[in-house]
Amino acid sequence: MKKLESISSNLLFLFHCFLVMLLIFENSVSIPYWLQPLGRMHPLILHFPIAFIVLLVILSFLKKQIDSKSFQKINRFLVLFTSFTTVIATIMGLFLSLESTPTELMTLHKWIGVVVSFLIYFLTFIKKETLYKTVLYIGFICVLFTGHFGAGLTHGANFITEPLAKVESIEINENTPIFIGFVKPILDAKCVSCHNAEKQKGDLDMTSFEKMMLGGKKGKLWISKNPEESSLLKRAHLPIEHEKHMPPEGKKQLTSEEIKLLSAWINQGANEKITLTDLPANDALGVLIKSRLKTIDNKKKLAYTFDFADKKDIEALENPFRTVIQKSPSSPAIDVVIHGRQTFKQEFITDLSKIKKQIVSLNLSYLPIDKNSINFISSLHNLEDLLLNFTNVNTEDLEAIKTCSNLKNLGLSGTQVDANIAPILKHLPKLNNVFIWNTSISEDDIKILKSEFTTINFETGFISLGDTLQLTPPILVSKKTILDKEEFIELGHKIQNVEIRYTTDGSKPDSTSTLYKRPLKIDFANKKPIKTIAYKKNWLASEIKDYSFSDKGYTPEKFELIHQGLNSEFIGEAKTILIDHIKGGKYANSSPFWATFSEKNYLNAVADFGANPPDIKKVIFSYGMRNNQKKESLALLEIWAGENKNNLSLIKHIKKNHNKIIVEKGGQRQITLEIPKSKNRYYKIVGIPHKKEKLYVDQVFFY
Amino acid sequence: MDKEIFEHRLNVNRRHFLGKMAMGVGGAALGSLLIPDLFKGPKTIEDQLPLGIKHFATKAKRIIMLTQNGAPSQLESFDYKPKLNDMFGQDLPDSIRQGQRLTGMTANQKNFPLVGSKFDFKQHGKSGTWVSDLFPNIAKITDDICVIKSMHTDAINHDPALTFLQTGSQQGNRPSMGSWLSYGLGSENKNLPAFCVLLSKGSGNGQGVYSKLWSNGFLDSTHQGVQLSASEDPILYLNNPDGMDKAQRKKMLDHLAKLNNLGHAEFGDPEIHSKIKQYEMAFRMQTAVPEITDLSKEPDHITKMYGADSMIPGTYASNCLLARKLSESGVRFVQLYHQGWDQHGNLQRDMPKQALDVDKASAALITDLKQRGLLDETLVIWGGEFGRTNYCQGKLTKDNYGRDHHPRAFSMFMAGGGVKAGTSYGKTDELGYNIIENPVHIHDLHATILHLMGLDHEKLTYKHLGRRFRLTDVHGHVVKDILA
Repeated sequence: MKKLESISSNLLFLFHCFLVMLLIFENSVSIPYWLQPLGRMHPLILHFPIAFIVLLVILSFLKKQIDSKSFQKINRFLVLFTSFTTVIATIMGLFLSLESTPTELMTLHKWIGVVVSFLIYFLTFIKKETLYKTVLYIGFICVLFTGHFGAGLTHGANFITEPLAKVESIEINENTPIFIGFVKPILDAKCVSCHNAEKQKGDLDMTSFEKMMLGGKKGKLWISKNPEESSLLKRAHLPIEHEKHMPPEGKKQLTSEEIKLLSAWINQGANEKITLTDLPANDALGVLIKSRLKTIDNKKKLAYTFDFADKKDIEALENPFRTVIQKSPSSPAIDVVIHGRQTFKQEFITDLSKIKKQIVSLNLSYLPIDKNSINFISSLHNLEDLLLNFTNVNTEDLEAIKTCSNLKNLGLSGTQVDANIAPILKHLPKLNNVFIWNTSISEDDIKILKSEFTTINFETGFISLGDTLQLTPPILVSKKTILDKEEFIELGHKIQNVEIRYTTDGSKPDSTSTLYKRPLKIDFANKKPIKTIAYKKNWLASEIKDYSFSDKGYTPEKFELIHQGLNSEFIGEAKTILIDHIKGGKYANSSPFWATFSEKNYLNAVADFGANPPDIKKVIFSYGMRNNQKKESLALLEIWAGENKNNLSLIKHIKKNHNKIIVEKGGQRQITLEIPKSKNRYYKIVGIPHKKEKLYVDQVFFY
Repeated sequence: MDKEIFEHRLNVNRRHFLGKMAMGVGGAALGSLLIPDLFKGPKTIEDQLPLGIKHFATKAKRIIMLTQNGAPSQLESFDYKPKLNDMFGQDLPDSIRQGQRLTGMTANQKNFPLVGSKFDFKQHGKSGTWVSDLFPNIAKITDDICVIKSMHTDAINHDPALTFLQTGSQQGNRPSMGSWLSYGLGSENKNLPAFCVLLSKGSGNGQGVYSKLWSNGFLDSTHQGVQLSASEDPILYLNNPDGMDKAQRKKMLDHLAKLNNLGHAEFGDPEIHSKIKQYEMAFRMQTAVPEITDLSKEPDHITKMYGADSMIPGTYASNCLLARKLSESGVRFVQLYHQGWDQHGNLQRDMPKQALDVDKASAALITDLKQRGLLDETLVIWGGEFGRTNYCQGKLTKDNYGRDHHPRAFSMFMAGGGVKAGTSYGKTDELGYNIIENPVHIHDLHATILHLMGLDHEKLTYKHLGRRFRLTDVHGHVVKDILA
């Protein structure tokens, strides 16, 4: 006995420590799969502690019948054994509970179970008889509760009262008496808690029709066919602060719909037995009941009966190009969307076979799907929404989806389907919406479809009512406006099949002007801009848009600067920006094609035209202004030329005063310097801004 | 026996004590074996993100928000107040104003002459919704939209009001609505950002739009809005550099991810993981984005529907078309801003131009979603940050007037995504100054929007600075009456 005592007390201590550990770290504990069967044996093992505790209780009553020594021995043994089985059952229960998400019932069951385990463990230490008995009886009561809650977990919370409740939850349809199906549930929910057999406030019992007919202290509850005078409704209509308002302030109030229904029922005659079928077709009460029945039906339809898909399967199917998502945690229904035409593979669809049952919505818009995929879709029997917009499916392919008899919405916009889809639609009784915008189905055919399928809404989309819009002007696809003599320019338009016409002589283009067919070469001798206009059938002609181009001139072989400019965080340095033939765009310092110089770090660039320099007659210096700049920034511009880099002579210079100037919007300025025609290898450009001004330069041209 | 047990208990000596201790430690150790993450340190914020978890099933999956920045006048768009025309030039009664604060622009004005809409109103559709003649195309789709005439807000100036509309707070630094949705629901298409922003500018008086409006605030930076620019390349720096092909790029990114993972192992900064994710997404975006942003392949009638402007990058019309394409491809939240609605003066001249910019394309967007079967799952929201006063700012003449900011009542409309179509909700008084029925605060709007997206605004929280933050903070009620 001593040995048993010592082993068991140690083991009990160990198990209870383990139990505490589990409880504290409940949220981070995860049960390995090989331990799960142990948890699932909880419903088996738990009968031992229950039986033993009951036995302990019985034994405590029999103390006087048994001789003291034997009693002590048996009792001691039993207490240890009970505690042992209790803690084992509790640990197993905890394992089991970790497998599923906790509910309120489970939490109750768990904590009372834990309390029992500790109470019984405590029992092993107690010597004092009265304390022993108290603890034992408390433990016994706890066992009753936790056992009851546990049974609720396995059999359902109202397992015991179910046979009684069954009588009430009868199927409600048009043959159910309106009082039973609609009126009584309202009264049960809002009145009966205070007006029942036990608690008859105002001497009123509202548990049955007969009892209600008896009325209360203040007389009858209703006057048949006179809802205005019936105290049931009079009380409900009183302002809520009113003492006699029912249900009293703070309790759940009748909704306006419920009041409507009650008054319609009283108005009809407050008959206990009357049903919807007994009422004439347009009876006010009948209309209310019909709409209620409809919502009940709808609610029934919404619930999905198929199983949940395995979470792991859903996760495995997720990839960047395929979204697989459960509609909500409480719904087994799954939405699938597949993205990206270029990355699409047919397996993206056919891989979904594991969740066939659960897919209710599938969006395959824009994808090039093949026969295999279509056949796969035909096996999705619970599918409700199928979007095939702008896919390559045709009427023939759709034959396969006849089997998707739960389809509600079918998107076929922009596909090759034709009017022959009618026989297919016949197989889809639940269809609500069919999207056939942008298909070859003619307006007449749509009319026929609409008359054939009156329950289906055919969405035909936007039909242009012949309103004509103005086109936007042609755009310069080649973008560059500073060109080489050999370069072509390309015109274009964002809208397809637009005619572009143009003139090069400065005259206004019209529908008879030259049609643009291929890229053009520019004649720089002609200073006139190219005037363009866009035409298209059923559109108004665009506004005229002018494009001017300029000659690139000569590009130096080398271009070197003493200072690279201040803002070299832009994409290039001044040595490339200034001769890249790209204009700086609106306003200096707003784009990366400007170089900035100051009085100290002024522009000092040497252009090297190589051993065979061209004839240069002209230098164009293009610079700009800041958005809010008001005064001339350039102080001095010099051109030097010569054959030797270190020995150049000044050939032209311009000085400018720091005066207020008006610049056109955009701030671009240009200085053209005519120089004596010369064939020098080196040209030096020096540009110095006024004090505290910045000089923004975008381009230097040599002609 | 009794004695034995008694003695046994008395014999609890040091050896017994230590022996028992070992049992206790053993029990605890046994338990610790079942805690897999015990020695792995605290969880990263990323692990705790409730991505993709909806609180309940709903219809709306995506949002397109058409923010009319600058605040369009409700009195010239949806809130018809003929009484104002009758009372032309009369002073706003103090009984109506009730001490409403004024902006600096009209605070010194001596009187507040009432002025009605110079543009006619008509009832449209089966629903009989009032719409002004400035919006002929929106008028055609009134049976698809729900106009809320009883919006109100806390702020009276543009920036705080717009920040409030976008983030639920007048000060910055809070996550934008799109970021909250990206955080709460994740991305539907993992090749694209969950939150995209498109800007356009009308001809009218403009107000600033800053990137703080699409900031992720304290949320992970993957939830930040991505602004698409109006240029030929809507997303800058997405293309590979010259001379690098796709395979090389992928290899480079894989190696970079390895290096970044080393960095993460060393510093444990969750932002390093977001960075890796963003690089990978950018790589996938290289194929997904050109497919979506290429508007030139849209059929002719689509161009006509949105208006010819839809082919000019950076216009409201082209942004609407792009918004449709992005949304259709699974972008959770597409945010448009159209500037230029701030008509303090010259309303009569400027508002028609603004309306012309947005009317056709806004209506086209809704119609276009509808004809693709997407309107049911896409929520479109149209409106500004506040309303405009019923009295004139500046000098009132027969053919020129202006309106100041008015936070107490303004109109917005919503379409699709579980909203009751063809209805008007809420009412203002006959002078259009105060709300007299069913007020909807910006917080209520946020709560309703989250509800439509399947999220409970009270549960979508993020712990920051020691407390849990929500889009609606501690306010907001779902407006059940406008739910379908």
